[in-house]
Amino acid sequence: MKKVRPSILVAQTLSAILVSCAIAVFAYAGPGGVTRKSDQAPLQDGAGVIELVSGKVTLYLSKHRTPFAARSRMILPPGSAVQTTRDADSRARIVLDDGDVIHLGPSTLLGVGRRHSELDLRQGHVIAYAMPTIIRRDHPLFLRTTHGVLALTVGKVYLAAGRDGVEIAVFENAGRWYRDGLTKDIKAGQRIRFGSKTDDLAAIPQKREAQLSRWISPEAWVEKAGVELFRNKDLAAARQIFSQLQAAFLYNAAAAYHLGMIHLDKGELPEAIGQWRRYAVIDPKRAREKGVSRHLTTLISQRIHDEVQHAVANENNLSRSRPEPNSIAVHPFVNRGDAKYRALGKGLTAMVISDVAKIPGIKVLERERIQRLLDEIKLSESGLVSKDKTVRAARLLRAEKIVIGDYAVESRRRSDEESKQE
Amino acid sequence: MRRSSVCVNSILSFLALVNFGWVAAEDLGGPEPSPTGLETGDLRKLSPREVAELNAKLRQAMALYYDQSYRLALPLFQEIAQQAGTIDIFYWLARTAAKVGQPDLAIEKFRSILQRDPTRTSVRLELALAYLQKGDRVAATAELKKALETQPPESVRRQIEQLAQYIERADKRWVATLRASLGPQFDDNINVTPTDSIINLGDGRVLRTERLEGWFIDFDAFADLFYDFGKKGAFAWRGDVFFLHHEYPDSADREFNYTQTDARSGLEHATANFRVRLPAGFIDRRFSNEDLSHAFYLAPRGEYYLGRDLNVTLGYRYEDEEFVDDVNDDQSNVTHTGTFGPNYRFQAWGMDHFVSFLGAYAVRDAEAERFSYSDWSIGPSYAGRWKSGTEASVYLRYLDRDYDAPALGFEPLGDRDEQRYTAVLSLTQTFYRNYFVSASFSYIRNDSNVPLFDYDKLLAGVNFGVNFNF
Repeated sequence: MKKVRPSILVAQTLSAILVSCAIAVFAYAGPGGVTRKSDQAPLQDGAGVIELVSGKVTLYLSKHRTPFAARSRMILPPGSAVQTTRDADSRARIVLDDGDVIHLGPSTLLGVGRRHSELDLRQGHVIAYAMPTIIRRDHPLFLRTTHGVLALTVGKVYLAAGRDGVEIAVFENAGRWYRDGLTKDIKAGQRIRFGSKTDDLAAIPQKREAQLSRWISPEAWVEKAGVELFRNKDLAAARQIFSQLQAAFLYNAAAAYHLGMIHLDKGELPEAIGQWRRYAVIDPKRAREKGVSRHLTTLISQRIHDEVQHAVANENNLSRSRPEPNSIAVHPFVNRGDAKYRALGKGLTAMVISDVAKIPGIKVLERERIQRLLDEIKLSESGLVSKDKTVRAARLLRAEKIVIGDYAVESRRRSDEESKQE
Repeated sequence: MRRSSVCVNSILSFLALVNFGWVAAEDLGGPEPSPTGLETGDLRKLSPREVAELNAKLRQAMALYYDQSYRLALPLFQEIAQQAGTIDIFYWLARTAAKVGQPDLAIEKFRSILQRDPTRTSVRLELALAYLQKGDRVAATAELKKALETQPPESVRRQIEQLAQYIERADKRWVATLRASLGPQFDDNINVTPTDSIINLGDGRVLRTERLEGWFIDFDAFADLFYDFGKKGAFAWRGDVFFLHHEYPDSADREFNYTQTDARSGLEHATANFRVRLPAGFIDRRFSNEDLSHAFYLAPRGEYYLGRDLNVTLGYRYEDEEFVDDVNDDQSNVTHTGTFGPNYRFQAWGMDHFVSFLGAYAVRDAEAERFSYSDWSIGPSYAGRWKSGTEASVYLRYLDRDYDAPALGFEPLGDRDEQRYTAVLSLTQTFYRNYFVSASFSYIRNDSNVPLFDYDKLLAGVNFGVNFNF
């Protein structure tokens, strides 16, 4: 990797609030300064977005100060700055254009650079998540303070800046600190304070990461606000908050659970099922305790029943419509042998579905849906598969392809006995 | 046995703390670019839209990883790896698999990375850890040897050697410790003289005492032998011998020479949350260069872990002490002691801290009532350990003891009772691995309704010692 070195700041003013100062902060010096890839042009549009906030947060646009408490996404132009207040709930989550995520704690002022992944922490606390990319990223995330610059390509760091100095805690991977032409690598698990007198290096105490992550993230505050709205039966507002929370924190359990409840209340069955499925994955224990898993089974069954009835009722229309591309229906295998092996059919079907599902791009239709459909159109009464009827089922499901099969289990002992007799 | 699993766990937690920061420090830009044409080719097949989708998924997976939601991150990494099996993705997938306790998957992916690029020492070290997690110490050791062959930087080499040592220790069934120290101690009240030097015994009788102070040589020796029965069943056997001798060089003080030999042995058993020790022991005490007493004891003790760093101790001790000389036979006794309290361990300011707060209740039934008592005691203790080999400890205790009868000659004062305050401070520095020097200070203040037992005593000294682990 190309080594990077910081430049001398053209202007550094901690107390600066106007965006013009933020712009100056990111105007790097030429030779000897921060070297960057030549193809890294200044940003034209947004440097990122404010994805989620809790409490009062102020955005400083060029010549404008825009206080907002909205939880909607807001584009952050290059040269802008975000400030949280001293209020206990004032937090913000910023997602930069290359996917890096920054959480702002309270009393924090963060400027956004004019180039990719450059930020200026003038005061306060942030946690930065530098994300890897499939094709290697060509520039690190730069977090500038008045005391130096922290570069982070992949990893998670806590950075606090104030008048007395800077504190950095690297939780994952490593960060490189630049100051006065010197560099220092800070390893994962290390915390360092760069003060005016001496640098203090220490190990990060246990649980500190979790404490800081929770403290600085807006997640818990937004979740709390959503739950309160939900309890006050303001479902529309709760829905909006939880949707925004889920957009930022896809695996937030409370958002999935409450959105499921809200969708259910509105009669939006598929959406409710989707949310609760997610909830059951995120927090299976609580899902079982709250009865969500049990309720989910009933809901899925209900939805499939509705869909199948709808499909049969609209068979003529469906038969004219095009099948879903790359969809495949695996018909339940039919037992042609001893009745005691009937249960084996489900297992065999599940195995085939599981294998087929691994093929990228193939959509496998749900086994239960197929079974319901077969029940509905009375195809399985004979216990034997009629190809025509199965094709009809596939058409109803709008499947492009169908897998059918039957099986028979023979007892070896019986075969041996038969062989002996022969 | 438990010790093995404890040892492996401690290795893992130690390395989790270390977290291979140096790995990333070596290449701040994250894992190196894909070295194989095949992989690059695979990526080239992806359309910009597919790359964007995979990046979005990777961010989700990484966000979960960073927030330690490894269980949720793993399927996402697996999904991404199916489409883009880059070294970076395999690396994160393997680390996540190790975190969720799937060492086989971690091993598979780490090995895939090393097949493409065998020079990655950091990955090889993580592979060794994954083997260790699986319980395959032979494979782990082999990977560490390979890692050393790559001639890594000094700091990395030290970590590898440290890990190898841990594994070696974890493999050992027999572990022995020998510790001995010798040094001068100052005793400001050798004969435990009361605070008041003239004590009125009544009927015109007066007891005059003279406080003796001086130096003695303190010699301590401790030997411990531990046998691990193996992981299955989590049982072990431990045998200890502790020897203590105070030699007063001044001929006038030699009658205060004291020697104690305490030998004990017993089974130990440990599960994930519970640890119990069942030692039985024998104590031989000598005073004034003569046999004083012999005691037999049982001291079962259990520790229940409420978390990784917090446990609660519950102990019981039965001791039957027989005084050798008939003159002292009145003091022969049976003592029951119960101990209870929490112990907490934490890390801060670059050092390990251990804090305990134990309470105890004891009942002694002696041949003579005036030596029988019940008491309770309570107090905190602290130990801190720096990485530099410096250890500090503080022990504070308050004890309240009520005897069953008055002290001999002080009957009018009623049953004897005492309140004792104890403070012990010590500072130890280890050097050259097997040697240490220790400075200690202890102070006892004993308040009693019987003037004869109202005293204080101060001990201070420096010991030099050796410590060997086999």
